[in-house]
Amino acid sequence: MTLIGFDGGQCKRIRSYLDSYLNNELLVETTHEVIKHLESCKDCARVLEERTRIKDQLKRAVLGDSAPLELQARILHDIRRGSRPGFLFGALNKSWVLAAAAAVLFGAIALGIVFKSTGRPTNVAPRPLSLAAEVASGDQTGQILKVGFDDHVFCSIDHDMADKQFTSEQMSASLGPQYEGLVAVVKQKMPQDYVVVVGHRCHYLQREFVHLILRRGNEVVSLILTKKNGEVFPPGGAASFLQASGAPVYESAWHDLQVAGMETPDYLVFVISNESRKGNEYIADTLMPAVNDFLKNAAA
Amino acid sequence: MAPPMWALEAPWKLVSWKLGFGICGLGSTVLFGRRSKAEDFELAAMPHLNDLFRTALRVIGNRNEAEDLVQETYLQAWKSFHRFEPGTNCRAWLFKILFHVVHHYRRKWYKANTTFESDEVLEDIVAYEPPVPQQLSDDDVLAALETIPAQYREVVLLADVEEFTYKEIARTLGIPVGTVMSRLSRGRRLLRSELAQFAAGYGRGEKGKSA
Repeated sequence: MTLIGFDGGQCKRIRSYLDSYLNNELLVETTHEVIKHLESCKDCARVLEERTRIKDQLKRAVLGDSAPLELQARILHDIRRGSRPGFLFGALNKSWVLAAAAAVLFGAIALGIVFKSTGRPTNVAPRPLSLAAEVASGDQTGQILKVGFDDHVFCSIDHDMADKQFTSEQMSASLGPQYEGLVAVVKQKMPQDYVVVVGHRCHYLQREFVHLILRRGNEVVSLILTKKNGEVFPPGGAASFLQASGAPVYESAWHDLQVAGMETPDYLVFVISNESRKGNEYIADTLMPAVNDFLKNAAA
Repeated sequence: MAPPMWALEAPWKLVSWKLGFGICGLGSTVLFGRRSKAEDFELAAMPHLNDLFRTALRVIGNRNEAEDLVQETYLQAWKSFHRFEPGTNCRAWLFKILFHVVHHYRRKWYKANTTFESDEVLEDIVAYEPPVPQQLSDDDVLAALETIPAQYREVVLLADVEEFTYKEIARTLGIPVGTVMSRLSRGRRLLRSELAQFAAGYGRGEKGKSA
């Protein structure tokens, strides 16, 4: 190695201080010594410049990544469902979960050696239904429809709200004067065998929803409204079955749930159900024009 | 008794309502306020999600696994939130859990593939530092970081990106402060050395020739 212009002892000592110098960790005297040396040694000044540059660039490069929204949703979903013990690490310390461990082992055997082949950890929570619904990043319509779908799954299914039975007073109190009239509109439009069991405001992923749940036996229908947050359905791709008071309606399906959505100037409106596609279209066809009119009147 | 209206608006709050507001980290806000334990946890812990994810991603090197490990970290944190002392450093607490989860995971799955070097083998310091090219991209830097053995990479990330103090890093990783400092020094040197090798690729900075 050629050490041109390298004053071995002095430079070596100064360079051992450079990282601490960058972090302001040196004593005043040592700092002065470093500064004095840097003024006269181009090579050490170059090294300092490079270390500064690398540190800055490392920070910038790492901070360039951020957690995907889906991860945030998964975590919030877990927390809001309450403490869920039984994950591998905590569970192994407790003898009373022996049975759970056996169940995990049995599950692992049943799943074959999937984890081995993928290298994925065994201790992760299953992805909730709403999050397991995949939407391609380019599918703008799907992403908007999933806003309503997620709230339906989160509220009606995960939190069993579809099994509740609210009184009119409870609905009015939760919906507030702005939206309580919606219950009457829905009752008037829908066939008698659909019962409005819940009308409330709920929150999911920092978004507020006006949510009505209708039941007909095992069929669960959600009518969900939420204020737009910059979403606009892309032109084209609307379902042909309906123009809700002039507003095109879009459709999708995840798992066994059908989703129909439309937008007004200020709102996204969704109908989600476990009915057939035709059944869901019928409900959307029945409700959406009325909801559109309701929102127009409310705005006026 | 009918549930209170806020529970209808946010049904998950029913848990703490039904439990009569059990002991929680932020006592008074729970006893007299409307915030549930879950909300307290979200407020304290969720702002650090990006920091935890980025660190996990760079330590593990795989996006899906990093997501799963961060999710596990939050679950562990949530389960032990009653032991978290309000007013103490929530971020440092979460990082400590993250590294516990990461180390456990790595021991389990990556034992054969992870390069761990003895801390004693590192004092082969040469003061000469080959030049590092000017036009490095972020990807170059991340690729170089990935080549560094895990125990050095962790310390570099915690110190130079997340800006934890030596003492906090020592507590997070469960190692002495002296070891933090020596690993940091070694890690930075390895990173620089790796980046200097990009010089050849860019046709600059011939080795063995100082500026």
